[in-house]
Amino acid sequence: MPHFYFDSMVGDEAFTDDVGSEMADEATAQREAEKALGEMTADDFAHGQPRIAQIWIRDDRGRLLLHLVSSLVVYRAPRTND
Amino acid sequence: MDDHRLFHLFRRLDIRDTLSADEKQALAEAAGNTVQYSAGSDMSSEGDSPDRSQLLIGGMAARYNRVESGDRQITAFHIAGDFVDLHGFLLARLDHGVSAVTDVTVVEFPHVNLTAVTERFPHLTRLLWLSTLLDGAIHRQWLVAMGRLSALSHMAHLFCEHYLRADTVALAAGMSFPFNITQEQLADALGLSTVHVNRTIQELRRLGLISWDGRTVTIHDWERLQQVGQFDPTFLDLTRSPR
Repeated sequence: MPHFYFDSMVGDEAFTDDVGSEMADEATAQREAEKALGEMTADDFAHGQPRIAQIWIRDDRGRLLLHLVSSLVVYRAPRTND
Repeated sequence: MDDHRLFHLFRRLDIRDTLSADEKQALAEAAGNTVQYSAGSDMSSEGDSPDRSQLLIGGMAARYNRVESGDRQITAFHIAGDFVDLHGFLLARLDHGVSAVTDVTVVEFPHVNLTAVTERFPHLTRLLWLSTLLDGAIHRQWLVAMGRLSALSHMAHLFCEHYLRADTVALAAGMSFPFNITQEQLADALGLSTVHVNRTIQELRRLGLISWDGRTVTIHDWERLQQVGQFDPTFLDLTRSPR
């Protein structure tokens, strides 16, 4: 099975994946990254200040395959004073 | 008669209360065959109505349930000295499976023998009851950790729990204990993706709290690891007292 590496960053906390994981294909790697990104964003939101979370997926030759970004955006609706 | 196969079980119970010679003898006489399972094989399956309970004496096992998608949630890890399915003694059917995480060795206790023990030894019966209560207490901690702790705290809590459990049954060496599982299995236990588990392990390493070579976890800062995991060992009930 192909080997994929998942570098990540939450806020300014970067993590370089030197170990990687074997996954069936790129689509599986993408699903796994999407799941991780959801967890990392939820974790960050529940336990700290919400920040932007990112994952870069590399193949075993170091080529960047995908870059996924997740963030929580809060739009405050304009309010009028009665 | 002393059955060396029951060493870890006796340690697990003795640390919480005193087992009499007669009680140890009764457990030894109730013990049946030694059975081995290879890593990955099922030791019990959901829906089974077992006629014996299995005492783990070597290796590591996991209780689990599957959901419709096929995903697996591990609900407990078991180490030597744990009955993996003592509750199956009284439950009509198992509501979960048990699989061998590593190659494991178990001693089977036929339920007919356990019935005889519980009818003759009320104090020993209470200790076996305590064993299942400890399983329940650990489950509660897992539920709280999964629902309310960050991934970092959750993992730290799990390592604290396993260190103390291993130390109780003489499996720890210094601040190291066997933890021979894959990141995928750890992810199934924590309810996280393997990618997130990998990142979280690296974070615990970067903080200087633990190292893990895939087989053994070494704790480098016990106090800090407990703080990060919001770990309170009360649920393991490690106090020796009459039961």
